[in-house]
Amino acid sequence: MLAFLIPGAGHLYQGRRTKAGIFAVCILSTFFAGMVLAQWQPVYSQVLYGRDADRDPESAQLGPGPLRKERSLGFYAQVFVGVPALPALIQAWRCGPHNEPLAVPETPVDADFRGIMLNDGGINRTRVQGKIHMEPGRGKTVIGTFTGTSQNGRPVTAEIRGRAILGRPVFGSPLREIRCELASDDPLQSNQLQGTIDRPFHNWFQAPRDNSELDRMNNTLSQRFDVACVFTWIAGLLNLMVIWDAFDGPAYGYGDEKPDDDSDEQ
Amino acid sequence: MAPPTVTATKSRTMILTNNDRHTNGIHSWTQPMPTIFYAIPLSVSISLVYCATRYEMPSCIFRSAAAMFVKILIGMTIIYGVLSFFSW
Repeated sequence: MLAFLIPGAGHLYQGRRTKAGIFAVCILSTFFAGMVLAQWQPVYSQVLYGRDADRDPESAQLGPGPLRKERSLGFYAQVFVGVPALPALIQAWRCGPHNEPLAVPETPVDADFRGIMLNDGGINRTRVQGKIHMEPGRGKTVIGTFTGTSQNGRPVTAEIRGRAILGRPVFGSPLREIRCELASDDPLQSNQLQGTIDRPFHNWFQAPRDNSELDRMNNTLSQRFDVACVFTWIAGLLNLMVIWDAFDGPAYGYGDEKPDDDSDEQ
Repeated sequence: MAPPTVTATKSRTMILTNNDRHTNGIHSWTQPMPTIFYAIPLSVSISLVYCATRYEMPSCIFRSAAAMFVKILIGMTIIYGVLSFFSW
């Protein structure tokens, strides 16, 4: 059990310190090298699909209702690293039916925003980034402000008023998607903000994610994401051999040890 | 006023794919390293752990791990050479 929870701990408990050191250093450094390479995101136990996955493959973070979940095959290898990979199971449990997109934030939102502003009913799109402040309004609406700059460096200020939707609180992406309506003089034309804000580390670390997030990781990190996944898979599979060694000794027995003095006399 | 939609749009895809904020967080030492060189630390790790599960004495472990590492490198170099030759 110790060998499973922490690589090398089983051997340390048995007094085989050199081997414990080799296992701990090699396996944990391989695993965490993979984690650093992929910005701490290669480990996840489930892939999520939205309710309308066929028609809208990117709706898992914002789409309502329960999500279809599929096990990540890579996690079957990663889980053997033990404690470092176990948060993925806790996050999968947290990502249950109560983990729904929010129409109204529970607490006021003050965060860095990055995304686009849709004006004139979506005809004009402007890439913007800045600060967003949002708090519950009357009923299922929110009020707030956005202050930032456009892609050209032009200052942009907008009043948020109307409906909004925030991505699921627990989701395997550091970017939490958000959409909200902006105040508009023309009731026929909807102005919106669509983009992302930061999600707290404990809400995305090793959490289930959708293919859209995996696409983003592959787009951002390219081959490094695949290499990082391989590092974490191999670390887990190596610990599988270590667990067996702790349970049943070295595969070739103890033939490499020096013979005892008693046996020489005989 | 129409409510915010939850369907995917071209604009949303643009947000996700063009969002380069997190590329700034990559450590600089990982940037210029060709992918093939990640195989070296991985081979060292695999050799050491594999041989440590085969032998008990440290001298045997390190000697056999070194031999195994060299064999892996030679094997990978041959495969790399063959693949490079056929893709040339």
